[in-house]
Amino acid sequence: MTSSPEPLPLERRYRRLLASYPPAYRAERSEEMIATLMSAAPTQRQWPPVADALDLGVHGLRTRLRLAARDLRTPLAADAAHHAALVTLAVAAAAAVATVVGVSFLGQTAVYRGALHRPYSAPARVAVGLLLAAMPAALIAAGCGLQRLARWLAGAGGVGALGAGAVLTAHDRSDINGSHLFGMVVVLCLPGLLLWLARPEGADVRRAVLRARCLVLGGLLSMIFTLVVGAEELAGELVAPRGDPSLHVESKNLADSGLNLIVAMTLAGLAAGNLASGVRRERDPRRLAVACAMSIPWLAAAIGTLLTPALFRPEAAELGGDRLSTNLIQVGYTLAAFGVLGVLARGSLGRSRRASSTSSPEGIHRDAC
Amino acid sequence: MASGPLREPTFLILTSLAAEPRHGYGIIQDVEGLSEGRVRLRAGTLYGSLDRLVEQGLAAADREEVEQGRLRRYYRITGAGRQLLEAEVARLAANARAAGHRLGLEGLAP
Repeated sequence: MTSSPEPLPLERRYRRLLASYPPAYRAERSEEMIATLMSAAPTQRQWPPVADALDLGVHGLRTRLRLAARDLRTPLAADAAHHAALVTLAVAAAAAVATVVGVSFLGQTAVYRGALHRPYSAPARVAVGLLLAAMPAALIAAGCGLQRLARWLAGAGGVGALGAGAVLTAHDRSDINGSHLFGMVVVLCLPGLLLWLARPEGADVRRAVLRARCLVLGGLLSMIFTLVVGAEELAGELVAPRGDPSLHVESKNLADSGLNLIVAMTLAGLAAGNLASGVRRERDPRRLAVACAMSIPWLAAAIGTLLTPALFRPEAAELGGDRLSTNLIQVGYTLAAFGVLGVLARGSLGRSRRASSTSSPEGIHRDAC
Repeated sequence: MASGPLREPTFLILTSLAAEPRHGYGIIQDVEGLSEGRVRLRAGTLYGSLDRLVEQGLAAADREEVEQGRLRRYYRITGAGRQLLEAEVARLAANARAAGHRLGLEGLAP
């Protein structure tokens, strides 16, 4: 489309700035935008004004978000989110069962042995048990194809756990139960959110944008959470003399509670679910890119959370038995989650093969922007 | 999205297209004139607004021309865009009249 073999330096620089826009959009629009930018620039100008650079950068990123949000409406993205939701639900159900068993029968969380200073009161145990039972129930409902019921159960479990966490934390501020329960709440809220994200029907643009923002925001919050845990841990290490457990007990409680690792596994399951669905379904690089982009913040958070204790507490091995049992439980969760993921991915591969033998492949490009 | 007050750049872009189809740089110049130099659209903002307008069916691509080796794509306002702009004009005029009354500026109000 363009003419001159040797573009002006200003044009070259404007073209570089347009790299903030997605490639598909650039292919459609860049010549037209360059024409407008060059017409608006004084002839002797060599460098784009800073305001132009900022404007193009911001709008390029916004366009990327907008197109990613639109891709969330495609069946593949909904499928990826659905798989991720099931994996997360499986992890949450396992965590819920472990917590109910621990809290109701042992008076402490099974995830991190000896984590609770005091056992919960009897009504609290019943309430926690009822709330957490929603997670396995939601998993069973999802397995039976009752998606609507699964969504409601997972949502109710998550919201209920949030309420219980708030009440218990407010009731007894001095106890560390609150922070442990908070970790569980983070995990338990995820399946409901993901099942909601996976809703393929009735998606309009605004809802799709909201979903994309939820995913990005969730990833960012997880990263911030990871950093906060890491910073607390580091502060505890710096302030407390080595070998004196009483002084850095607060940061130890937070970092060692096992919740960060559960969150990490949940997020890794989510990321893997996205990736597996994206890779296996259709070998379309654009769709794969969407799946990767959806996964990056979560994956970064997962890796960060896993590395945090290792980076800041190299002597973690000294913690001995508790640490070991925690790790074993976590390894079990991880294996279970990835097992479920493998089954799901195989199932979807078979389905997509059957589908592709009967129907024609759908076009990628919906109505042009 | 199509209801509710329009943001000023969007309002001015639609106003600019209401007269005749224009290309990107044409819209920038016209909007600067319409706003008496107050609003100087940058390309990113302009094309972001145009994308939204086209997506909502308020504007559409009209034709393409090559001028001095550069691609010019012209945009036009659609029927829905015209209706929305008319509704917005009525709303703004009513607001201006109401404010004029309160300030005792009846003579100046349209």
